[in-house]
Amino acid sequence: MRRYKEWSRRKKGVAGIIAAIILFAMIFTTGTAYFIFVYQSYQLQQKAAIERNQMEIEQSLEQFEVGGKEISGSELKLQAIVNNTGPIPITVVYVFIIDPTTGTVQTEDLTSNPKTVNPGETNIPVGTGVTYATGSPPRLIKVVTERGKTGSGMHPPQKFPGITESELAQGFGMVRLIFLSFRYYTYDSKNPFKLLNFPTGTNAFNSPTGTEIAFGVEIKNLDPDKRTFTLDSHTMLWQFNPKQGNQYYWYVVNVNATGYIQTTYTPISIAYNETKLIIFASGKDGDFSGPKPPQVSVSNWSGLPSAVFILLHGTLGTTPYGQNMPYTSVYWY
Amino acid sequence: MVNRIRKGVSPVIATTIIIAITLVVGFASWSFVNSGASAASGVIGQSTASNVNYLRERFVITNVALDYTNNRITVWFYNNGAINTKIVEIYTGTDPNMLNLIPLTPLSLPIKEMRSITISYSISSGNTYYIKAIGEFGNVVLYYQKA
Repeated sequence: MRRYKEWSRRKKGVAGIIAAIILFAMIFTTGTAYFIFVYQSYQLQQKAAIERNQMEIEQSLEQFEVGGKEISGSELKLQAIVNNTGPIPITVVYVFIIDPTTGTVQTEDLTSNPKTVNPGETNIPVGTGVTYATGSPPRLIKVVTERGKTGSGMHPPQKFPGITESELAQGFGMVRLIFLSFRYYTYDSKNPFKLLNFPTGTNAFNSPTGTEIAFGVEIKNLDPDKRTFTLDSHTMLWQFNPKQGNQYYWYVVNVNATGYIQTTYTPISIAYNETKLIIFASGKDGDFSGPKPPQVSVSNWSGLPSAVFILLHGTLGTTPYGQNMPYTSVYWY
Repeated sequence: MVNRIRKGVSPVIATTIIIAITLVVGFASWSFVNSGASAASGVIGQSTASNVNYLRERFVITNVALDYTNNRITVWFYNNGAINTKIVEIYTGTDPNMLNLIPLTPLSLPIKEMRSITISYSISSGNTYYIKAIGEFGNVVLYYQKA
């Protein structure tokens, strides 16, 4: 009895500790398993995200140019060619050859036999080509790479595909003259401020002598910086007759929609990419008092050609700007 | 003699009861934690699978042919991802904010393969048509072309 009591005293609390350890071990095992599962799940997601990111980076590194090459044989064929201009190899898996005029699409599936083009390689033929007739309309050739990037080019190559009018305008000025819009107007005999047949006018490349006329021409603002061009009153059209050795000029005027010339000039604004008809009628800078200023008498020019210069002046945005357009001529009859 | 025997039974019963209570409470606690962990694991597992599939699914629209004579649109898809997928929905129209759902049977798109689908749609020359495709795992691709 005494021994039992001693044993019992010695063992007190051991069962509780063992139970607590077992319980803790069970919960710990469950918790650990859960956390390991969560950790592995995040690892899986992270791996998938890294792989996708890697694929997108590789795709963005692909740079290539596409063109076409005609292959003679039993029948003429058009084959895609690829220049790899990027830093990594590309693998072409599909070719589209499209007739943009009809929308007809011809395809070459190379997924089972893809063509790899290494960096720096040029004019590498891709696929076997599709039937093509000489002189056919241009074809759009599109290739698809294994990484999913699409590149395209035209055959035959289009000239100056990347140059815009605005870029060309830098070469000769910010404003373009619409040559075929060059016209003249006669005056209403009953109202010296009214232009007849406005705004249509008459083609001015052959102009009449012996009557007072005004000129009109359309100009387009192609400023690459997209500023508004404002024409001031110094803008004029002048003509020089090389045989007679004399000149006449017409200042810019404002004309309302019904063809009436305004007595005082208000600056004309032309927004970027806007085309506007500009009328030249006045003998004086800044105002218009009638169609017969002394210098506009061209009867001695009959049967002679003259050179036309359009002098534009004003501001481009807030910057002063002027441009002379000397490309037109007139024959006076 | 009788008393001595009775004195020995009580600790055994008490110990048995304590063990029983401990086991019951222990298993109840474990079950509670385990069921919670299982439920959470299930949600995380589904979410992970969904995210991983979404990340591995990639496809592009490589070409579109707008046939305004026969009022048909042919769309070419290429699977550049790391998992087989399906095109489950296609929308089209001229306003990218109001596209029309086109009824279709899902188009299987195995890895590294090109597949095309032709749908009927009224085409007017000069209009720009937008095509939006949705993959099985939720990726969306938009393409537009002028007729």
